[in-house]
Amino acid sequence: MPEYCRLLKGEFLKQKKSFIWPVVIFTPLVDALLTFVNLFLRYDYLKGLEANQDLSSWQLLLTQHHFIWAFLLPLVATIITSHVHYLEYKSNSWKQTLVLPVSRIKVYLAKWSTVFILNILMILQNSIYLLIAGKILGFPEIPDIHLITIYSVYQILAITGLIGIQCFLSANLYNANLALAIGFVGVASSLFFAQSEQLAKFIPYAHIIFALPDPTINNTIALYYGLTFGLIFLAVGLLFFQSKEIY
Amino acid sequence: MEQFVIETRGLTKEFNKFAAVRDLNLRVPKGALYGFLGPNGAGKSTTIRMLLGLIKPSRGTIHLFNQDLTKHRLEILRKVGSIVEAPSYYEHLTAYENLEISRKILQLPKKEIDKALDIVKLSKWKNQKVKDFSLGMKQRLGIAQALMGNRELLILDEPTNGLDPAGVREIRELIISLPEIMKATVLISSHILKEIELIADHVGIIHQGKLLFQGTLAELQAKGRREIIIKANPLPQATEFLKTKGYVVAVKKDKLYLAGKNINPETLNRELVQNGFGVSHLSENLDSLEDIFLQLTGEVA
Repeated sequence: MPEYCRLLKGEFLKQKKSFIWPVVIFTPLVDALLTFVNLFLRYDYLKGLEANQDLSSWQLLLTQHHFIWAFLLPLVATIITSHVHYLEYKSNSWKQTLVLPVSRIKVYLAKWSTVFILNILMILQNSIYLLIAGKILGFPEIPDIHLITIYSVYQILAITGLIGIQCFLSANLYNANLALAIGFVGVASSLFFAQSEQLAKFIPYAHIIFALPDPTINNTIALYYGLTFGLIFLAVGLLFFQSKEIY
Repeated sequence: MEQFVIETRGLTKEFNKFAAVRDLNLRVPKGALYGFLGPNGAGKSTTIRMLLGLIKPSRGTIHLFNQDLTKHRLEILRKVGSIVEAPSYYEHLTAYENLEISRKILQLPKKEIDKALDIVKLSKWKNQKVKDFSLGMKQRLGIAQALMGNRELLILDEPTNGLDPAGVREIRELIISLPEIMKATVLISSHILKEIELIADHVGIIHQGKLLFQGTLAELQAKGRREIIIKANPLPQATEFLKTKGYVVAVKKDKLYLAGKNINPETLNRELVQNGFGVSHLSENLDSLEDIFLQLTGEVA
């Protein structure tokens, strides 16, 4: 098995019995439940609003869902990133990992991939739950799998920037809580940045807000800027981690 | 020619302008149980971190198994097991699961875990979470981790730190047995002289970042002072007699102190008695390792 895969497997072993699994499993479920309750109680009212008249039921579901998810996902992504790295700081295990005959680049990539995979898992679960919610609500249209698939892909690309920056901070700052605090501030302030498209492009915490497939939303911010920032911060993180001194 | 498993040349680590390690020329012979001795803050852990590639030296070179660490890091680390300072584990996992992570990364067969746990006598507790372990058990688990995969060199940084006397003895006996079990060279650091004296056959003494001594334990002991103490009667005449015989004599109260490594007490006694002096006391005083250590470190301070 290639070294990277072994490290990735090791990362998932470290997460065994960790609180991250309930977070990854229940966050998308709770979010979908809230969306379900919202539409169950207010479907007719929301459908009657002028702003929503051109929207299909599935589009309405995603729009309503995105109000919560656009904050919840980056917040939980920040927590996941910090937790995956905090494990090493908490038990002072960076040294134990890095004295093994493994490349530092691959160690960092394995951490990054773990965070990325966990986020993909959350996004995909959430999409499935949304489909189920729509089915239970008995939307008149057939399930819009295409729309939900596009939404999932946009989210995955949009969250890449945040994962890149949070991995960089968590792996390279000696105080893991500082990375978490920066992430929280970033997510909390993302709505303000999102008010300006020009500014939002350069704030990875705000990219997810632009992931909703809607003609009135500039999805290129989520797609191109999310991916670009993700790759840039992945490269920067790798560079710093290579020369990180472990005390 | 002696083969060195670890060889550093001019190894230096500076933090801002403070030199934590200065021009260190460490030489650890193959098969040795090398005690790396020094007070807290002497630079032991910094040196060990450099040897393992965790921090970069400011100057100097490191060769392990005759290979440059900067060029052959991965190849070298495959042969090195280590504990750096306090043991570090994922406390929410069991002992077995902790070792499983390393085993997977190192691509070792599963039996390596049981073998290592067996050596450190932790097999009974392998399914217990590490957070429930005592410090001694954690140290043993750290050693187990270092042992996995037939390592040729074990670097153990203060493995007895914080242990109670029974724990210290347990770990000491385990370490002493390692070269035989593993056929490995062992470098163990400690600030406790007695520990090193009981474990090591080679010693390196570091103080304020400088290596003050390096050699076998016997060579270190030979660096100590030796005195012959005599109570002879009449004292003034005995003093004069010994001086004429070429001895360096100091008088303290009613005793004579003769410094020198080559003085034979038997000959000395015979000379005094044959020349009419009464000898009521004759003893030999050797510097303890502690005295030697304090002399060496005192030279720098």
